[in-house]
Amino acid sequence: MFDTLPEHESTPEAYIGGLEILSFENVCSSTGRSGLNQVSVSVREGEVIGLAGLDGSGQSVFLKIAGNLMEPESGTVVRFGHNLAGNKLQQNRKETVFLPADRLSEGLIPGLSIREHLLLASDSPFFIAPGTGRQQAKQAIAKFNILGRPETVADGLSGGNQQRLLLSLMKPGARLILMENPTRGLDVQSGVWTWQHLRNQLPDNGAIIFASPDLEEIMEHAGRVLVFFDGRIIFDKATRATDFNQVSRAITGHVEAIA
Amino acid sequence: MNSSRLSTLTTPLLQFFFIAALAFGAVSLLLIALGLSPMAIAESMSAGSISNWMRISHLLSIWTPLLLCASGLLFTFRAGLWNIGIEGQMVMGAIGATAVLRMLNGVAPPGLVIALAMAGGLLGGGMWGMFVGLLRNRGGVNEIFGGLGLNFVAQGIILWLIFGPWKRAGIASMSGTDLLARDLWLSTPPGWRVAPVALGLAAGAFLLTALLLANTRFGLQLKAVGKNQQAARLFGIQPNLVGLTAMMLGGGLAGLAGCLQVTAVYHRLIPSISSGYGYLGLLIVMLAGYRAAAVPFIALFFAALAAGSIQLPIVLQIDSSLSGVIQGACVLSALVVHGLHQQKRSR
Repeated sequence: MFDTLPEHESTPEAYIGGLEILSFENVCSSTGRSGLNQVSVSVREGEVIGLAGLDGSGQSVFLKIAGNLMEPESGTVVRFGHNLAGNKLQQNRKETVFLPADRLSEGLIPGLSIREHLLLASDSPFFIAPGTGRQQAKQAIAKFNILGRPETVADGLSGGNQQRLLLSLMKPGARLILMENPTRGLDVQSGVWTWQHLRNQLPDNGAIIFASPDLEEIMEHAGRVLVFFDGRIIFDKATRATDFNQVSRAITGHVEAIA
Repeated sequence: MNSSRLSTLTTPLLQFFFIAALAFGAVSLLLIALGLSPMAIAESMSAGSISNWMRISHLLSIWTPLLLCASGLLFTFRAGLWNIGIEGQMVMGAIGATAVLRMLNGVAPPGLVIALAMAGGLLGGGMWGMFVGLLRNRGGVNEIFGGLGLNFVAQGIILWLIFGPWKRAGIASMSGTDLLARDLWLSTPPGWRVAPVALGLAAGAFLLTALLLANTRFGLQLKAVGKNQQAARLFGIQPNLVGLTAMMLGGGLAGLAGCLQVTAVYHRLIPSISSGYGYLGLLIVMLAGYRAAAVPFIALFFAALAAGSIQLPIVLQIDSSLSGVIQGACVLSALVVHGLHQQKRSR
């Protein structure tokens, strides 16, 4: 299936002209089914980018490297002007947020309550008096419409409420939001709410990059679509300059046939 | 009181009841099958551990290292680490303390030397714990195997010291090194078998451990790392660093226990200075369901079993290793009950 690699197709002039906040230069990784193969891309302020592709084509690896949760084997990744090479593998929560697809096994901590999650995500002091954060948790529960109490553990929440909890943990002002399948497993109402919240939360000088198997979600919410195929970006266009069929064909590796 | 809060209080109590019933039933059946009377054994063991103050204070002298080791293990278990190397950490703490005591004997005031020996014990055990953590972080060696390997190394070092550089004047002996100078012993009041300072240190260390685990950001980070390392990274936590800190703290407390065995119990370094208290600490924390609040009581129970079993061979002609059988039965019962509880929850 991945024997012959298609040519890259792009219309870079179509993008918003903000400052560059993330760049990949010839980034390679052998993690995952396809890894990443010589990926170069630039992300600018104000962009909402959808990553499309068959499962395991490199989208997840791309997001994890961008989030500094995985190290590439070669190439350069620059985020907010800083080369990520040599940085400790952890998230800089002030500027970048990564929301994983598997909320409970990758994003939340089973056994920890909503209050404890919020304490961990905030700049709480070293000593935490009993009951600290309860008020903050109540406010977050009300604001994010989470069906739970401050002491409800993450694994006791439904998928939609887990996603709401994840969103409540985002630092205000985070400029780069990286997401895997942001609305997977959510009911329609929760999905709409999630996108509304993300749009409201994102500052003007920020960007969202999300991977989704749902092409409709990408075409509806992204301003630019990148299609991954066998670890490479083979299609890079503004969503208004392309359509559902073109992207669908690109996902299966047929970009040379697109006029 | 709402139902969920009530269930968080009653569930551990119910579990404890089932564990006690299962362990008591299993051990009683075993004893009856061997033609022994469970009641006679229980009476003999309680008489041997709590019948007078001398025996109670002996029990407390066993409780002290058990509580210190179990406190250290609360850190590592919370971080999701199995610190099997605790025995070696206790041994290295004893060696570190003995080294300080030998070096500074007569050079500095005894009180200061003892305080520095405690620091030496903390350092010796903490460094041995750190090695396990580094082997895990840098070399990819699972902490169980790293710890087990370092236990053997620590045992080799203590034997080499006792039969080599630190051997008794004229002759090397399994009974250990020469006795420490009397003023380097932690003082024990007449009629007591436990040094109040040692007891206070163990109790203080436990309270500090419980406070750090329950009421600090570090405790929360340990919990996060222990339950989901991948997600912990998303919170800006470095799991390797947190795990290494837990290993150092756990090793440090075990090392302090080793130091107290030297300065308060044996007053010399002996080959079996750890007396298996590190391994018992593992069983105590498991039996406590990894909860700090239950640890002192279970440690006290284990200490009573160990103290009470000493007179079993004399009174009932039963080997004192029976206490180990009872301890093992308790832990196995706890594992069974916790396992069944987990299964029920996941359904």
